[in-house]
Amino acid sequence: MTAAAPGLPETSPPDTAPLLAVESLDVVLGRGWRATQVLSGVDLAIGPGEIVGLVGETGSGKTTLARTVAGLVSPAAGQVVFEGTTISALRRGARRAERRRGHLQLVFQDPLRSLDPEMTVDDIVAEGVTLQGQADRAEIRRRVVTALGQVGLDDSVLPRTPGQISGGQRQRVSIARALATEPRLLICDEPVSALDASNRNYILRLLEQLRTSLGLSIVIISHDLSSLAGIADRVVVLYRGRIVEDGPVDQVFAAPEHPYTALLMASAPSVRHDRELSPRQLTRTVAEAGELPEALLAGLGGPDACVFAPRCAFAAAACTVQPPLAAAGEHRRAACHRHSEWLTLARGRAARGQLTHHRLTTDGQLATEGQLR
Amino acid sequence: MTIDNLKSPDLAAPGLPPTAGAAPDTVSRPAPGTSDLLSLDDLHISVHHGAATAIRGVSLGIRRGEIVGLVGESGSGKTLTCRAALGVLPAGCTIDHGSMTFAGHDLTTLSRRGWEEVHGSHMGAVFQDPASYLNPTITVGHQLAEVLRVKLGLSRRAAHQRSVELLSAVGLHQPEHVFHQIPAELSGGMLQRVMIAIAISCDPELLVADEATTALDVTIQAEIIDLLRRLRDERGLAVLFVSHDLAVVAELCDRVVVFYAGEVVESGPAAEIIERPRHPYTRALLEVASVGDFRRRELRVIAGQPPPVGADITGCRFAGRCPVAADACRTGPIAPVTVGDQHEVRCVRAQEAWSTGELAAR
Repeated sequence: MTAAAPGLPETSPPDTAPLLAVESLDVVLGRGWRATQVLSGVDLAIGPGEIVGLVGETGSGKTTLARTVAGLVSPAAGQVVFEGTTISALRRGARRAERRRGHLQLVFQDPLRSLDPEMTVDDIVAEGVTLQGQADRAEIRRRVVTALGQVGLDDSVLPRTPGQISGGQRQRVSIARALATEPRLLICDEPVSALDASNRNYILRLLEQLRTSLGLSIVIISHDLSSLAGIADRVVVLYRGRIVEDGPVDQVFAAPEHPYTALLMASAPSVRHDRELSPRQLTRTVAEAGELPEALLAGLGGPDACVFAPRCAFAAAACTVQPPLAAAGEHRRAACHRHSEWLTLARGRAARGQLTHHRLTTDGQLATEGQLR
Repeated sequence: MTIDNLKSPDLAAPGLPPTAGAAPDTVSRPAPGTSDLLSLDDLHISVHHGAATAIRGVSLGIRRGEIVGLVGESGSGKTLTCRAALGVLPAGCTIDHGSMTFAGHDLTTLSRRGWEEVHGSHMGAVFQDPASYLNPTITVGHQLAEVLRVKLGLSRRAAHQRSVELLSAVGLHQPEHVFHQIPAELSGGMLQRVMIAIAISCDPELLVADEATTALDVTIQAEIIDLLRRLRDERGLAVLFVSHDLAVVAELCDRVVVFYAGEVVESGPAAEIIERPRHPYTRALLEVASVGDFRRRELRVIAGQPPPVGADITGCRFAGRCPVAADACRTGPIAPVTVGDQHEVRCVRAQEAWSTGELAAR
């Protein structure tokens, strides 16, 4: 498989007429005393034919971002511009009409829960096309068969219900459902989390092929960085509702600018114990927190502080103020006051040997060898 | 078997001494590696009331203080094997043949009362979705203390004190505060820690962790893996760790057992399996696993689908998907062969030289 679609640059520069532009987006969920700010000042552009990986942990706002872009959540501030239309400003009928156009489609994590268990595959895939209201019966039929073909399924699954097909097939059906309306942008919310390794890779490869053959833009929400690295052009890292890092996938993973990106990489399971940094080098231990001056510790946990400061091993006085998402290189952005310093500090933490734990590479190998007898 | 039988000295003082407060790591345990704590031998399990055989001749052993990983695709029989070992097979599933022993005691003939004694006191278990195992309306501390009061007969006060110690032992900060919280107030990672605290509350010798980290974020998964490793080091806890991700298993386990379509196809020391996989299926699993590689690369898939549960296949069950299958693979049952120290492979071509090279190049 080729790295990118022929004729498309490896990473489309986001400044040339993006398909989707999210600008200064704030999202607040809940009202009154329950109100929580889920997204803060999110700026993001997705170019045509681009695959963007959106990573971050539970509660980082990945899913809320996807839902806001799809018009399922109204932003408190900022806007979402899709194909030149400010879709976040659309109301009622206009918004419904935009949604029914089906140019922007969502694929959900768990197809067993997101697909109606009593509908047949045929009905599920046809539903979006029927709602568009443009196609006659024969055209709907043609679109269904085409969409299933695009995900590598044949007509034999048409009369089955989601419960009667395998997990991998189900996720393909939910992708086919999205493809049937001939979308321009596919937002896949954890499309592979529920699948085993082989099926996971199959679905990701399929998405890359769809990008190449249909020129789709695809946003993949995932917490599996390693497999994202296999197919994405760009990776956007969210932490507690803010983008902390954004850039071409090869550059970000070769040299992360933000310690949280490094933490995600260090935490990813690996068959070999060959990571340079361990999660313990990148997060502040309880003991270390106890050694910090009380005023500083309070500042780092305060509402204005950098979102990652409560966990960051390298947080300093400057980090009591949220850093802006600033340009870091040609196509990269990062929000870290200490982006030029933390890597050296992390290496120092390992070298000083103050963290006696088996997750450190050398100790890990010793422990393993010891147990093998 | 009676309960007293199980409490033989061989089982090494279950539970805590009545004087709570003694550090759990001081409980004397026999040295790890002396004999198998849990041993399954030639286990056959049928499902759907005998309509299909899902587990065919599974044998595996786990020693005290050892972490053994069971790995394989969904439907390969890992979970069923665990549930058999825990004595909680779903309805319609029966053990047709084979033996299961725990510290020398037969588990297959154990009565309901006998299992009650084993659960918690000798075996603990954690599963994929911690929230679904806790009562959402009761504080987690109460649910933990309840176990201690019922199983160990501790007083209210002692159970509370011991619960807080356990919550702290599984790495929860502010355990006193967590004690009074209900499940909805805790994150998935914290809930899984609470489940582990409950599972180890009566100081079992074995912890069964079935996909216990699968639903968690990678950062939390790494922390739980760390915790399991620490519990083994501090308490001599043996862990049977089930996962479909070979990378996670490789991170944690001493030994790996690879399941395919209800059979063990390869087992051996983790480092050996990762560096020198001998079964084509293990090799395929390694190729699709998250190798911790952050470069753009071709994502591999294992071609084909596993056979349906109970399929009657002569010879190797993987032959239909195997890139190196030969005629000899389809003629008769394949017996496991020993290819190294504790390293067994169920493959007729295991001794041939196809297995290295390609993987090392990655």
